[in-house]
Amino acid sequence: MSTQVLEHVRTLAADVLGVRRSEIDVNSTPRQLDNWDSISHVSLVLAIEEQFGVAFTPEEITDMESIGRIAELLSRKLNNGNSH
Amino acid sequence: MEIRIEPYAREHVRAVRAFNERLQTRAGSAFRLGESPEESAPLREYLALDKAGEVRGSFGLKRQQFWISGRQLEIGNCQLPLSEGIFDPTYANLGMVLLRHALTLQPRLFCLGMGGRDKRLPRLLTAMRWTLIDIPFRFRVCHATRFMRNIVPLRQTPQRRLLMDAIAASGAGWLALHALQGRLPITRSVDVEEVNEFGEWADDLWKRCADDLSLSLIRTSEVLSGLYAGPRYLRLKISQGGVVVGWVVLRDTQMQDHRYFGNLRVATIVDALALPAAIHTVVQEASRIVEKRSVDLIISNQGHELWVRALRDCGFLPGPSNYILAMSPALATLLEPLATHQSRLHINRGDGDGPLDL
Repeated sequence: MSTQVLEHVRTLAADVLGVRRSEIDVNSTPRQLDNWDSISHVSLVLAIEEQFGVAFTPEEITDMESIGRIAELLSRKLNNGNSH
Repeated sequence: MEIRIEPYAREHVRAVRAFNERLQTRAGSAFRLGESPEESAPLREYLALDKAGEVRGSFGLKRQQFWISGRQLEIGNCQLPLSEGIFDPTYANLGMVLLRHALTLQPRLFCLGMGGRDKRLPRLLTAMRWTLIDIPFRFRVCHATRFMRNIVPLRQTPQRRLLMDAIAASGAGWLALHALQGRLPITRSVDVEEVNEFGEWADDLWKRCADDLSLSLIRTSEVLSGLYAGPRYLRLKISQGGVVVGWVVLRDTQMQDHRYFGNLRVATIVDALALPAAIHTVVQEASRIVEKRSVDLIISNQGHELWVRALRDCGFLPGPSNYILAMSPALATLLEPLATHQSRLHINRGDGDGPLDL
């Protein structure tokens, strides 16, 4: 996982979830953040897809259990050149 | 998190029962999956299963042939997406997973109903960039006193209940509604026949009507016979000068403690089709027939502007609609520009999962 990608994801997540960036770290999960529900999760995924020009499969979305995991999935996609 | 999505099969029945139990006890949800895969046919249900084989979410998909902007295409009605994410944040991503998976099965999807834009599913679909359209709701009161005493949304507080009861007792409610609604217009030379089935006449009518519709279920006799068989439906064929000009399907239901209609006897114009010039006549005659049956209230949701206008002209009043059409991006694209096509969406209560609680 790229540190730069993680920082981008933290910034996007803070914006979508309406929290301070300092409240989000690599281990943040929906259980810890009240604002992270199914609707804000959609907004976060779409924001990442649009910003980075990628498309996540349902299986990848299933795997997005934490900020760190989202950043890993995104890094993998960018490294594999999976942009559209 | 390991989740796999599979069609509902007999081996899943135990896990489905446990899922239904959790939905009820942990989320207070009235929604439940059928306790056999066959229960919901022709709806095909899909389950989101975790590593242990427990059900954590589900959705239903009904594939239908639709008429869209001049051509016939298969689209999918996505029904009842359920996720444990509604009570367990561990599964917060599951709603999107289910809908994205449904889109892989059929990209042209719609959801219908949903109870209002403030509900979770419409909000989720909005976030996923689906197009949402309110399908207008109209009603005609037949018995003002019973309406005032039973219509739940107007009787939510003790003060409102007192007020409505007072208006009902005074007769002022009847006067006001009579002034607003007026009498049903009269059309001469119209024949209304109650039918038990849809025949070739329905196929002919469909061919004559289709081009005026931007989006419609293919309303042939075969499809209609499958949807509206049995004694729960009142099927009317309307003719003028010996020519079939329209049909309408109604339900006449005595409600019991209904969340909106209390104990009113409610007639619903569930579905209908007519030549544009005959739509007013069809609405008039359908309303006249059910008024004679002593219903308290007639209701309808209609998407097509000619049907909305006909309801208005027959004294149906506008009400708040919680009946929403949501279209996936791939489906909405076929109706661009929406401003041109929206007025001819032929969507009503017969679509989607049908008039379940009516």
